[in-house]
Amino acid sequence: MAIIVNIDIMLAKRKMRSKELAEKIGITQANLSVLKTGKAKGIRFETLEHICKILECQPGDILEYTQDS
Amino acid sequence: MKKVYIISKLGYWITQILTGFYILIVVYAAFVLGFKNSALSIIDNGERFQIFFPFTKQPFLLGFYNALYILVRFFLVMICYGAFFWLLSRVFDVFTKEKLFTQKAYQRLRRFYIINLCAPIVLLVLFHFLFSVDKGDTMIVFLHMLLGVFIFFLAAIFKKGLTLQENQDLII
Repeated sequence: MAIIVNIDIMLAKRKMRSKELAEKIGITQANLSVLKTGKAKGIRFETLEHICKILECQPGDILEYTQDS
Repeated sequence: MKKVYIISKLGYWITQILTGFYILIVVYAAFVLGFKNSALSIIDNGERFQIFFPFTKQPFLLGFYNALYILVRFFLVMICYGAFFWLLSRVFDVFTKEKLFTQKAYQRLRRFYIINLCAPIVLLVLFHFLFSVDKGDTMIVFLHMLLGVFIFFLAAIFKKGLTLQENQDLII
């Protein structure tokens, strides 16, 4: 997929666990896993806002565009 | 959605009761015809049979007293209607659920429309060759097929809804 979700990198930088992030955002761990593995079809602004707020980052730190090979 | 829930729940229980009713009739008729007990009366010089309500002399079921008629026109039709009401109850049950567009719901609708489109035609052809077909039989087959077509379109909507639901579930 052309859009890569870098939540794992930000989690490692903030020394936070996926479970904790999921709880703080208010989504299930399964849904966070769907997002992290790139299986999600989209992300709501509301979810992105929560992630940025909790991980103290910008949307660009979470989402990255790469050219499809 | 509350109205839909109430009506579908009501429909579910009515069709479940009807399914049970048909099963009971089949079991009772099989028992009476099999053991030829006092609840059975042969009339019209052995041409027709009468089955009374249990422990009464009140006529309940009536038919021609020959093996082919009893097996096909009587038991097979009863079993088919039992199956019809059971499948209908499964369709009603779909509308009582919180999540409407699921694979299970689509499968139930699909099964219901296939049965309604195929079984009546098969039975009509069978009746045509074994007995005689009257206007009433043709009308019932037509109504079942109409119901089948209607459910076919409903199933198509559900399939589309299922795809949309799956996409929606992947938007986090």
